[in-house]
Amino acid sequence: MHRLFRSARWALPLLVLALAPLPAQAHGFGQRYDLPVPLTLYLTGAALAVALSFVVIGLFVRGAPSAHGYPTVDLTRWLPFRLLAYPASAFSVRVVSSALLVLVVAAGLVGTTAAMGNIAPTLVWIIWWVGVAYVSALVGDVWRVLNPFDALFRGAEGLARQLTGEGLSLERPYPARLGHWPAVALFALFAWFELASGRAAEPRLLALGTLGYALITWAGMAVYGREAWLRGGEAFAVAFGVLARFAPIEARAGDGGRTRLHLRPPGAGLLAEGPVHLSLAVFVLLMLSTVTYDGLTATPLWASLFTTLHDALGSVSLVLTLGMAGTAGAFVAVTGLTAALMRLSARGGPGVGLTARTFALSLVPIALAYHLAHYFTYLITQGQFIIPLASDPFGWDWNLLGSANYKVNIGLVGARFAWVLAIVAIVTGHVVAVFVAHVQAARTYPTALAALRSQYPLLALMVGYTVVSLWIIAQPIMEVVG
Amino acid sequence: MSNPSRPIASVLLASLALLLAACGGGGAPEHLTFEVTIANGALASPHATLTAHQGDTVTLVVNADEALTFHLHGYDEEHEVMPNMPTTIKFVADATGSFPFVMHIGAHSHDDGAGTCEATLPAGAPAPQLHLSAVADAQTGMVMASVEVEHFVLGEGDGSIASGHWHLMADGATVGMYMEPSATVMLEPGVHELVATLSDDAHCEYPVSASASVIVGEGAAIGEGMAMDEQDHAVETESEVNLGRLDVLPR
Repeated sequence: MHRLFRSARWALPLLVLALAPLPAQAHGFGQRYDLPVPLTLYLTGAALAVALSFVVIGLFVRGAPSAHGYPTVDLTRWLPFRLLAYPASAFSVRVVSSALLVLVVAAGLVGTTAAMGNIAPTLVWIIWWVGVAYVSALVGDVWRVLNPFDALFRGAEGLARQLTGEGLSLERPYPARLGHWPAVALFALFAWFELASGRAAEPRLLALGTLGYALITWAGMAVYGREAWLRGGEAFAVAFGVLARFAPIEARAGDGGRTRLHLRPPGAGLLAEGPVHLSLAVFVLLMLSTVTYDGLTATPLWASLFTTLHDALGSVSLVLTLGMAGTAGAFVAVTGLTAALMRLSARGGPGVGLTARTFALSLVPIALAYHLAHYFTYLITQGQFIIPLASDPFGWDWNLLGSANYKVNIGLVGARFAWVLAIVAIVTGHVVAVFVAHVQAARTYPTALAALRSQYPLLALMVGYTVVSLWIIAQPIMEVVG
Repeated sequence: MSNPSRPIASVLLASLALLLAACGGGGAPEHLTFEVTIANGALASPHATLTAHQGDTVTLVVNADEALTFHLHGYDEEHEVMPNMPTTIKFVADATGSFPFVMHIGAHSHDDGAGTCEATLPAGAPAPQLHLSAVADAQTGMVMASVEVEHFVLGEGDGSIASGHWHLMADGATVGMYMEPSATVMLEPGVHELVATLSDDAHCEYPVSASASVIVGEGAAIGEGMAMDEQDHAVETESEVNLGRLDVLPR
């Protein structure tokens, strides 16, 4: 019938279709229904961020808190947590998450090609990417247990050991100069697929991408060993690991190899070490920039910029790639500039690179808070699609669990609740960031005065970053570009 | 760490109270009517953002110059819209948010369903009659197909006789559906068998059809093949065109 459809009445709409921005989802997939935060709330949030920054500074003027160590509570004292820490619970979680990985690949490859009818896009972009990020930041490093790439390799290695007495890995020493660079490269590729390819919601591509990533991960593990690759090359272990540094629960090895879960102050994990490896600092900046870029692409400002760039360049993906690279570049440049100013302001101290590496992690709470604010309604509303999809993962009109006809409830979260949550999250994130940076400064600079002075440029950066985050959520959603 | 964080916590709590106080509101639910006009594949009415408050009863009157599917996301109101026939969508805006409304063009969902149900005549109404004629323009390849109907109203009827629109098929494939008695379509050179049927608003067909043959000459211009193929592809992969958003603000 389409051959015969070559009638004039299609020509015009399709021409418009070809030229006008397509409605699409820069953030991987799905629709956003957020209302822009009203101006009064936005200004209140910004004013609070500035005012509270001075409160934090005031606290430090009276004397820096002990920089080393933080109080923890051993949660494993209580039975429910002890059960969680049992190897058997971790094992069953690994079995489930491995099955879900297989499901994503299978549904993506053979299920319907309609993004909303196939479980793969919803499971990957909403439940996993947004959902696991939430849990990592607010609970603890769950990816360490969930990671199905790791679980399957671990299982295969265990099996190989049983059969041949040897592991699967060559256990080559991981070159120190590689640092986290493989993870940086893989994360950049992943972020490009999510935000700039315009094709992230296509089940087939998603399945192939997942499969490709699994093969790379297993190859890395086979050469350098599981642990080494998880530290340096597994992009999501690094990403969720960075987010989980904020989390209130940490896992520690206890007596007799038992895992013990400890409660700690939120954000304390960001202070765990001094300067991080340059590759980790770059990874953090890249991650932060993609979160901000995702928000930026839904603003009217970007919509007009996009139209201009698209007219000049002609390719949607090219414009998106430039936007993404530009945002990442801006983050690196502004961080570098801030580090240089910190050195000037403190009249000495570590060099520019070392300063950036020392303070990169302190920006994480701001990104995290913005991420939580930006995705909250999206996760609650779009996430519900997993309920019907669980009954019909391939889009083949199945009804395995009887939930195939579930209708998404768009009224679960009211706009006013979402607004207040967003402002409170962003302001809290800002305060934690300023706090963390000050503690870091207290241990980095020789005198309290130098530490304080070093913080002025960083404080300016943080206020600016927070205000940009607030500004984005105060913009009407305008989704352009496929 | 717990000591210095106490003043921060209290400032945060105070600000939270302030924030809650800042979000005022009130007023009684209203009935709101918005006209949404679609022409040449884009929104033609002046406002792309429609604003309502939670609890309002919203009526959208959708007018289009071609057959399409109108879809309000979130509330998931999906309606077939006939050319030049206002379609009314009414619902209570009980959830807050900013909900995009789009149109789907191309593979219409009702193409699959066409002919699967039978329209019922109003009680005592005579069976509709249908005649089809078609002429081809040798230069352009455009075919003008016209129908004459009896005991049938193209458009909204008064319920005393059958009413609705007509579907045109060429060589067994649906070409379009129309409210006007004539339609212009472009066909490839060759002989084509055209069939017209009558349907009610729900695309259920009346048990009547008419056919006609038409010859399109070799010299007819049929557009650029490549471009058309790409467009066909776009049609098949269910394309959406963004029209605007409905903002439902908290009351």
